[in-house]
Amino acid sequence: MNPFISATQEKPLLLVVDDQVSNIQTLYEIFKDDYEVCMATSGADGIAFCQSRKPDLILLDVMMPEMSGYAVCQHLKNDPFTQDIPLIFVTAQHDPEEEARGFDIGAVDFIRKPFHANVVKARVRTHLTLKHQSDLLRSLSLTDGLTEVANRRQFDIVMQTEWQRCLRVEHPLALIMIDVDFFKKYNDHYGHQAGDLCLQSVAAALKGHCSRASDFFARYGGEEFAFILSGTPLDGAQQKAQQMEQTVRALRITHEKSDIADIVTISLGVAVITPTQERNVADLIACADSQLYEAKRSGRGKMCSMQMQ
Amino acid sequence: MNKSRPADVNEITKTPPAIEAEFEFEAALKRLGGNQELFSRLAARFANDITPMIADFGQYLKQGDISKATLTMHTLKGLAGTIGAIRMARHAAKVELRLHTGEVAIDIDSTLNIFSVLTARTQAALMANTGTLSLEITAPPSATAPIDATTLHTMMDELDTLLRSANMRATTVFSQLENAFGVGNKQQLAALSQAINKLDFKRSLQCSQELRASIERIS
Repeated sequence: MNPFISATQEKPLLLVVDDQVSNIQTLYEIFKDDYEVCMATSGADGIAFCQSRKPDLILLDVMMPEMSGYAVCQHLKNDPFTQDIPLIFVTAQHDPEEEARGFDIGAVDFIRKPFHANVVKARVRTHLTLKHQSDLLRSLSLTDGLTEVANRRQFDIVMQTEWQRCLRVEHPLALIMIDVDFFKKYNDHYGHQAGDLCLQSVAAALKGHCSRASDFFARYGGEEFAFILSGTPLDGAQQKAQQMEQTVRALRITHEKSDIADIVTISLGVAVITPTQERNVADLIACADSQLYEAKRSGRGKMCSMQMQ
Repeated sequence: MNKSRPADVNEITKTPPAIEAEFEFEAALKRLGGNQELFSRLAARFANDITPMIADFGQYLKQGDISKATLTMHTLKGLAGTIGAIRMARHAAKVELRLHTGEVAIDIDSTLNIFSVLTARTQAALMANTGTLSLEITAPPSATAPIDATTLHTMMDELDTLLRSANMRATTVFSQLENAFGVGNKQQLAALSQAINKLDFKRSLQCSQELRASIERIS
């Protein structure tokens, strides 16, 4: 019985890469009840599969014509998209040196042929458990515990990645900094539990504005949030910011202590830049921050924006 | 290729010493979780593949393509080991090592003779053990009622989706499809069956399209 799947979840996906049909069929028979099993009969096909659909674990033959298992492993480990997929070599090689080489280039285990079905099952289960735990740990370390959106650490990583990407392709990069208006007063008046609920509601509503795969929303700290829009010019970012402002108003969260409305509102600062070698991420954040300050200074519940040169 | 080593075919053809088992089918079956159907299928595939594999090996040796010859021995070692053809696996391992290290020259004719003898004995032993060496995917007992067109199309749609995503469940769905077709109509599935058996899913997809067209023509 697979420990990771409930009745509603999809089965974990195993990829078997082997040039021998018999070996693939054998592994399929062993795993078909607990896992989804896909196959590739060459190293090149295995790599192509992983780039289009990421398996949870790969069982890889070592000696294959044209591209060896080692070459496949090295290729996958050099690609950021595939490097975290656990990979087990399944081989008829019984040479400790070769085994060590496999571990050196990133395999998590070595299974020797002829293998015992129960041993292979146990090894796969073990490595999937480890993968599951490390994924969970990574997810927890990058997620804000209160609002369950990305946290500041993840924001910093994504911001750098998107900066580099936009620098490479010369696309504009937009950042929206968001602040919940008069949140200290809200907390003081309604209490911290109500304050937490308010932040959760605002975060959930704003996260709903991530319409493209590259859109990214995070809790920046306290009652501040950030939205990264890659490849978006100023008018697009302004439009998005206005929609977000309206979305929070539409929540109609009562705020008797707000100086500008009887509901919770947000202020937004928008900055857009086409990255260059001379500028950096800190410049963009500082500009978005200054626009947010301007929005707050000029009355709150609104958006201010700037196109950086 | 150097022929410095004397032929040791007699060493193989004589009765194996008691301490060295030639076949360990029961252990192999146990390793496969007691799955007799899988064992029979692997045995059938091995029995069918071994002769051309040895022929290829001979060609590679004659052409001096040591890399391909070594890979073939490596494959043979693994496959023989999986089905419990211990002596074959050990001999392949020995030849693989010789080719890999290049330390001991290979006598081509003698080596091929030994494999020829081992092949015949292995095929006979597998036949005796499994009763049949058919490569066909074993389907459950044939359906009594003819399958309706909607169900057939649903099954073929599922098969195509699985083939496109390289999903091994395609082999299971094909087995169900074969059963649904009934024994009398199996020839219609011959090309698809062959492609599925080779796990050539690209070709299988083509065969599946051809099968659909042929079914539509008939109906």
